[in-house]
Amino acid sequence: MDVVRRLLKNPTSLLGIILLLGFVFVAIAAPVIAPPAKSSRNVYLIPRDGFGNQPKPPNEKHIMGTTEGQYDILYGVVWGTRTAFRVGIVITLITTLIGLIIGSLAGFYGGWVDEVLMRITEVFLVFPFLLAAITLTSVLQTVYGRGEANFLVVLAKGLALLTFGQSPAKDLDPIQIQILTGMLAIIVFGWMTYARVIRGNILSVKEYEYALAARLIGASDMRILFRHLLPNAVFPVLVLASMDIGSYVLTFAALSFLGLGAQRGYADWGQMISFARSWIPSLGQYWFIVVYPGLAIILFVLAWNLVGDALRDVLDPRMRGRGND
Amino acid sequence: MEERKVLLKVDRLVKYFPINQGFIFKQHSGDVHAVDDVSFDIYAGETLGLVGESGCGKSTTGRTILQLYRPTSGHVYFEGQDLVKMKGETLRKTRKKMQMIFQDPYASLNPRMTVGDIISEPMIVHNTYKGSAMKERVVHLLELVGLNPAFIKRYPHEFSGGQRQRIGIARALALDPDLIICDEPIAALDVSVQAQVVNLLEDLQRDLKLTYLFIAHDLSMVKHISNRVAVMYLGIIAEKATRDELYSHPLHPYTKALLSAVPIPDPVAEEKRKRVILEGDVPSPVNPPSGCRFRTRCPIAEKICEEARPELREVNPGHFVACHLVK
Repeated sequence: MDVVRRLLKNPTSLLGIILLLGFVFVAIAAPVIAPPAKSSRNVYLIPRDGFGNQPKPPNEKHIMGTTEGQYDILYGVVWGTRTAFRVGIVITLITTLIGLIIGSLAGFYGGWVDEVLMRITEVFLVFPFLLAAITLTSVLQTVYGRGEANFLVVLAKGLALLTFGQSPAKDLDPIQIQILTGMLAIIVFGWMTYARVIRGNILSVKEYEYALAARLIGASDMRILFRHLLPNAVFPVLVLASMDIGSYVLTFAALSFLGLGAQRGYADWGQMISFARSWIPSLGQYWFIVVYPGLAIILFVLAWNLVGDALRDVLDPRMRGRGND
Repeated sequence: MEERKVLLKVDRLVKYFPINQGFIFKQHSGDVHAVDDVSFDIYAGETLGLVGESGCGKSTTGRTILQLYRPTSGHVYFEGQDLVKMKGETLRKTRKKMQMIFQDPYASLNPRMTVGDIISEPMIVHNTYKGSAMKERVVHLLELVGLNPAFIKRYPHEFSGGQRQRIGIARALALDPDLIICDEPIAALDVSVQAQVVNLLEDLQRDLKLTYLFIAHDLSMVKHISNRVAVMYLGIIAEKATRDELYSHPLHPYTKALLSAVPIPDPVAEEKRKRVILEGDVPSPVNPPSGCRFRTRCPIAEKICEEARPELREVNPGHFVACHLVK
């Protein structure tokens, strides 16, 4: 538990951890902080207080005010924390996994396997990330809207199981499909960095003498890969991934802002900021539409970045064996 | 050692590493001639020392013997069976009898495995020992190499270089090998620890009837441990003889130069002896010199050395030299 101790000793990482714990607390305590209406059919749909167009500034009833269409901002920010965690963590888990598999196969087997896998990776890298994600999201939404493509439905159901814990037996909710398509698009264009980093690390680690020793004692390929190479090659990827949780949430917020991620009225920070689009000229007056969800996004990304930074310092192999008093 | 059994026979072993250039359409633009036609035998129970400068192909020879690198050509017979022709499971089973001790004790142990895991892994992989028998054997091996069995749950970074090398030796012994290739096992250690490790290797050889191929660049250490010595230069064997013969009557000019560089711990003798100082650097193994590899630095080279490659000839019984000019 040396890692934890060293994480807590560093003030910046401590700040990151505290922020993160704060978000975890808000996510868990959401039903207490912002209790949903009993009649609500989906707790992630922000309750509305009337249908007036004009946003209302913070008042006693709505501590953070309301957006256009009278969506309660506090409710959205609080329940949006859950969305942020779900989206960020699930995307990171899946992209890291894809990257790990492709990168380690390429690095371990080398030769034409490496050549083919890395060329594919480069093809994906060619597309500008956000633009590609936007395009793919809109394409996927059309495809899902038509209710075709069985393979894609299986994918979405798998993702729904991970994200919402929804049983694959159930049909997909259109509200969820919007979020899932956005996530899918980010995943499709998000795994390449991990693949490259892990490949490079495997390439270097596999020349270590302990990898040769493992081959000599007759260990199988899979044993060498999982027992000897990956444990020594995976840490930079974990650091990268922990930092990326925040940026995936940011990208997803961008999709939502453009109207492609979460649907209107869903408790998602990016979607909430999109309410500000029509009020940009008078943001001085309606600052609260942007500031509260925006602050949530900034702090969330910051928290993961600080934690990732600290993890890098702590897990750096050059630091290993030192300070282990 | 009258009736001696050949344990390992290396026959005209060649290992070239290809150099490729270009993107997608790779072109083969040359080879690194790491090992070029090397032959020797190792008898059961003896130690063959393999010496040479850095980059002369000693380690590559060791690794090619064990098929960690597949040879370009040539054969390696272990107890009469050709390892080069083996694949997959057969190779895995046969290689059990041959293990290696590595040069860098900081790179040869997986930093994320405990000492116990490292030493028991060979037994798990080959399913030779299980459960408590395996645990007992790990303890036994640790004691055998002079480590406290209480260290079993520790990680490699908690040990010194010498202790790590002992862990590496214990791992190599776990499968009861017949042959151990020691790839500069002491080069990375402090002088005080070198002697301990060499003594340990000697004790183990005596007790467990091991055969060693001892790769090193330290001539005095090789003299101490070897029965026979082969001198390598740029991928070939320059001279091969019994230890006493080689150290008292070196014939190849390269061997003479090497031996003259070993300090004598006697100021008077040191003062009197004549040193052979070699000029220049080792030529590139990508474009080795024609004829004799050593001719570019040889103090006595003649025309023939440029034209023909000298074969390893038996000059005296058991004393082989690859030089045109040695009679």
